[in-house]
Amino acid sequence: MSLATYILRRVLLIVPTLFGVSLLTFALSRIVPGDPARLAAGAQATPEMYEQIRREFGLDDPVPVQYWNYLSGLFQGDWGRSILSRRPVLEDLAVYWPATFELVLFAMLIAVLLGVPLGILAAVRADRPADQVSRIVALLGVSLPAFWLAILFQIFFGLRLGWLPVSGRLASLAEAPPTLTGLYTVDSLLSGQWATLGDSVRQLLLPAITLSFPAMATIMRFTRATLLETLGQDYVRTARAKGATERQVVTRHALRNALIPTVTMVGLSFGWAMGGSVLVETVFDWPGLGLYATKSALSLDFMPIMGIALLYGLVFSVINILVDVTYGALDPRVSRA
Amino acid sequence: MAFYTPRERHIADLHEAFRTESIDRRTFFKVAGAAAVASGLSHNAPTPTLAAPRRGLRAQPEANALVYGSPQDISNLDPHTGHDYSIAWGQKAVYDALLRYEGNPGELKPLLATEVVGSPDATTWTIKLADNATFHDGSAVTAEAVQYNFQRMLRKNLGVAWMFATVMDQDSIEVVDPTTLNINLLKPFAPYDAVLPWLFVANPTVVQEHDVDGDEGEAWLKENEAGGGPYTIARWELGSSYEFTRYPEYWFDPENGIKPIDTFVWRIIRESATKRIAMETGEVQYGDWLSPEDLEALAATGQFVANQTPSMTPFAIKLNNQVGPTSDINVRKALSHAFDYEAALEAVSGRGTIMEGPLATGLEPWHKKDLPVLRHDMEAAKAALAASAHPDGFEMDYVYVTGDTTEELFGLILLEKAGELGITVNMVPMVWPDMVATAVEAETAPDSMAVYSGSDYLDPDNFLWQAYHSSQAGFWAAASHYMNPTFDKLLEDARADTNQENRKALYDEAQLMLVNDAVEIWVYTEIPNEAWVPELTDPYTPVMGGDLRTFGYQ
Repeated sequence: MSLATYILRRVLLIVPTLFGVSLLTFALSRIVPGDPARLAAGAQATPEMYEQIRREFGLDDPVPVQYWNYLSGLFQGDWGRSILSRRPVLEDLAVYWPATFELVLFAMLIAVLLGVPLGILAAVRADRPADQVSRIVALLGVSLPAFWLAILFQIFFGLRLGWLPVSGRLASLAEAPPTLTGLYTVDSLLSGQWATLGDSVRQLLLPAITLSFPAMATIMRFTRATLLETLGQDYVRTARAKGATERQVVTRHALRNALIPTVTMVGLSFGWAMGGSVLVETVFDWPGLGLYATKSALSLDFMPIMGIALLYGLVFSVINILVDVTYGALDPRVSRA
Repeated sequence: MAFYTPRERHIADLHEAFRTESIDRRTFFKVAGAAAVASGLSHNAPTPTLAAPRRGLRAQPEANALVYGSPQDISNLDPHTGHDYSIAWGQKAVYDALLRYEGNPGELKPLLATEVVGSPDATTWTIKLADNATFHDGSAVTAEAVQYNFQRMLRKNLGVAWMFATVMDQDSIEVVDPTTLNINLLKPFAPYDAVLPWLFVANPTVVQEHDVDGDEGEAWLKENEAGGGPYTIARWELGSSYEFTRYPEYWFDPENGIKPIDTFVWRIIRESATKRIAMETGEVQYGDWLSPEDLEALAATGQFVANQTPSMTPFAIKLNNQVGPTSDINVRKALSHAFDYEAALEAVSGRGTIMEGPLATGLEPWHKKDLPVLRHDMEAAKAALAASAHPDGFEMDYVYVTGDTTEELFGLILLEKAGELGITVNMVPMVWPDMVATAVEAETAPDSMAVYSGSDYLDPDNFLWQAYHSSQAGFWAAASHYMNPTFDKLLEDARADTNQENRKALYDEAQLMLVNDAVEIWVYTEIPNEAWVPELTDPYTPVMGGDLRTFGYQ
């Protein structure tokens, strides 16, 4: 099967996946107790105001009709409206998605930039002090709850040292960059707003480091494990026998093969980090999808929740395709059958 | 395709288990609290010493900027469809209303309207407008503009419309001349002037310019303004922060000698601990919804003032007056005597005032002073229960908002004390929409239900009509389903008389009637957990949403 056919097949498979996601989230939203219209109508709403909202949002239609309307709307670019803010969900997703993407992207950048070298270090110095330290760091990384770590970072770097801000995406009185990509760091860089760039990086550091911890720990251990395994292979022994230095053995011969499973792990960690961003965004008041999801869930605002589930489903599917394709490209032995 | 060795899969599984672990809010705070204690942030520990001087703490007051930290979003700035306390902060900043509240307790003051006069029967109201009021585009605020805003608000029938829609319709507003309107109400409504601070006036021309498919600018006005208020929008970062900058040509002078704040930022900070850190580092000057511990710690630094003023927001345990054991007046009296009010106050760290009847004690002059309120007295409780149809006790539900620890604590107090009488109280947490739904019918309304009522206008009508007039039965605030034609008549008479002395007498009688009928357990009015930098003049107002016209840096 050619690569193009393979990708096309995987892309087409996204459609039934998303259909399943939409059906599941819609069903769940109708099963959970509570009436979003009452909440949206406000504390003092008259019965007429309440009925008006039910009509306006189609909540007085039979449930299958509601789902059909939702589904047909999706194909026309209408993902419904938030019953609370009354804004189109798609518009909200467009606002909140870049913040989450920027956060996860930076977190993964930190995780890879630290995780891979530390993993290599742990492998080449296996069972020595550096390896033991890396083991402890990895254990802490996967076992410390993100929100706990977040609060510790806030107290230490924000309150005690006063180095970094503890909440928000931009300082209160900072000048916002023009919206080009929605990623403040990129937008301020592209528009040459250096002060804003500095500010947005400072704001990003604590939440991104917090979010990167589990991914970094996993990547580090993965790199160590696979590199150790590779270093024991026959072709590595051959390289050593030919007189290659240890550095050459590691960097030229072993690392490329060892990193193949790590690439998979990076892709999967990206998806996990998106899910994990909910807690981190809440503690750092990072105005991304996680915070939007929390707010919507607490308000029984179902349309945004369904929209977020669809978007996450889409992102996960795309990441999986990318990982599979990358894996195949790196390791020709992997079949696409 | 399989990518994992068993060992790799194990690591991945471990990782996934961690990532997908669900953590409820209470667990969150328990662990966070432990972290805070561990690092010396506990309120019992000395305030941490900062490594560097906090220059930021003074930077914003010196720049005449105020950053307000709140967990709540300004989700809809539309003057007629948005209505909650955070929205009200924004609306009051960019729009002028007809009247405004100032001080504590709030006093009605002129704004766009210089004069509001009601007919003695409270059915016709004449509103005279200021002749120098302008919108941000420089155009005059005319009677026609006000008429349009009344009509748009009624057409939308959302937000604040509940205060107006029962007494007026599209034809009620008559323009007499460019600065005079007559409002001909469908029925008498004496506190009509008290609700006028909620009619925000938008520029009709700007609104119509942004009409999309006949929505009268509704989509646009969610995050834009068409007002004439003291501020304009400088930045709108959805779900994060909203910046308002002072409008230099603002026409109105409140004549209170306060220099207005130049920049006001509404910043969304959901967690109290994060807000406290942001306040201590100078990022935020005014924070609300702080935990009692964080509030205490902030006040202890000497760099913040903790609010000490009770709100007008009553908390009551609604008792079903129509169905079940609580329909028996002696059972209601027994429960009212059994409840430990002092313990309830302790449960909120003393931040409140025990209620003496159905109205907040601070609602002057309306609160009746000498009401025979039922206080904690177990002997009296036993006697009342013995006189009831359930002398040997019974089982009842206490319904409260899921996750609201204060309401839960109040329920536990009731559970303990009622248990001494042989009454079994079932603690039933529910999400708010469900509570609202169950309250609709007396048959489905819970035996008891925890309810905080809001204060939109400072008149007894706001609290008594919505909670006890029989026409409101089924509304969440009227979950007690109190039905008393004599009581109804008192409230209706009070609505039909603009003479305040006559109204006071009627409301006194009404309060006495409610207390004698032990309609519900009136617990306390809270002191909101807010703190601000001492450079600010007192910004607290008991009316929903603060008004930047009334305070500033001194």
